[in-house]
Amino acid sequence: MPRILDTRKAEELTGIVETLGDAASFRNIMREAAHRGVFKENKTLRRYLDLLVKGKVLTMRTRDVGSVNLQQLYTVKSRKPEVCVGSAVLRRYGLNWEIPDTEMRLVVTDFDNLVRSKVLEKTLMASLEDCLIQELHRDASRKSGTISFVIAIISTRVLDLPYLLRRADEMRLGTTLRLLLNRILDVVSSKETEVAASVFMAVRAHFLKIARQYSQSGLWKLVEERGVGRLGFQTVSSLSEHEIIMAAAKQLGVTG
Amino acid sequence: MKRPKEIRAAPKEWVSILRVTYSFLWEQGISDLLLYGSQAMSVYMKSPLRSKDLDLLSSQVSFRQMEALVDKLSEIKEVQYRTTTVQTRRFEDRKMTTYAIELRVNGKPFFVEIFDKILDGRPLSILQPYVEPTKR
Repeated sequence: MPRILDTRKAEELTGIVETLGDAASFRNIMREAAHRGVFKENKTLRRYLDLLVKGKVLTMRTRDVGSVNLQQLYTVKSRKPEVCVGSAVLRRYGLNWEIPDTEMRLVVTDFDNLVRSKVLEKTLMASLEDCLIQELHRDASRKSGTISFVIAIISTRVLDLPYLLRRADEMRLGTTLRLLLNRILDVVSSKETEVAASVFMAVRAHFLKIARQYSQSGLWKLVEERGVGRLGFQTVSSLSEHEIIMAAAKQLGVTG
Repeated sequence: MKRPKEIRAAPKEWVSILRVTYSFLWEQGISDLLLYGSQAMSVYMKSPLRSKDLDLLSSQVSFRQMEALVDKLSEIKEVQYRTTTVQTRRFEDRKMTTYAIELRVNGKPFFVEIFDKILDGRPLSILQPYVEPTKR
């Protein structure tokens, strides 16, 4: 799992840039950040600044000060970061569906999401967990049908479950997401199936392996807790065994 | 976390399928039929293993015989027939054909698979030194 940046540090850095105002050059930011004990290394500071610029929290302009390198000056643009989400972003995370590149949209988010986001093909994309929550929310509010993509990923990939559930609670999808995870577990745990056995068994083996990992690390207990919000609850409760298995099977490549 | 339900057929379930399959194919003149995989291991074990499929080897089986076998298997009380598939895979210059009958045994998925080759298309004759007739 790639190292996740620190939300608090990103917020504090934004505060430093704001405090320095017109004097927020890289060197001044570094000095102030080191003074406050936020950063000690240039490279780490650079990583955070680049991310904040990509997330449209900061803007950067350059000034010729007669040195070999141009001076970089930072300004706070917004306290609300922006990242890309959408099914096209899920595709870049490995979703096994043909999705046009246009299925991508910018959303205003928070620093938690920003520090987990990734630059893929020069675009700042939300973390996989945040994309899933956004698509679940979109399906709940607009009946977009993107719940199949959510099923495909959560039944075949190990995710940061505590973060995923926390974000779901924040978006009032907590109960819905917990129900979805329990529905997948119920379907694959059954000894009977109406879908082709080879497809069912592939999905069953894959999801149970993931669920066991969550269970062994004690994380499945979070799924058994009470969630916050029931947006899209009806959609999840009416999902059939066939819909759940086929979404996961397509992701695994065991069916068309 | 809720415990997943057991999906593999109990020995007494798959033994009845093995008994019908083996004797039927033998009657059909299939003389090179071999029990393979975990069921073959089970023959030598005190407690046979649960299984989700029955693996047999023969280079003489045809699709018509598989269809006739399906009719025979469907007569077993707790068995329901679903599909029959034939898959041919190529391994460079070698070819391997697998016949698979998908069943439900007391609701649980179960496959009867017959392979005409082993280990990526190698001939069954390489098993000859290791084959032994066993009765249990």
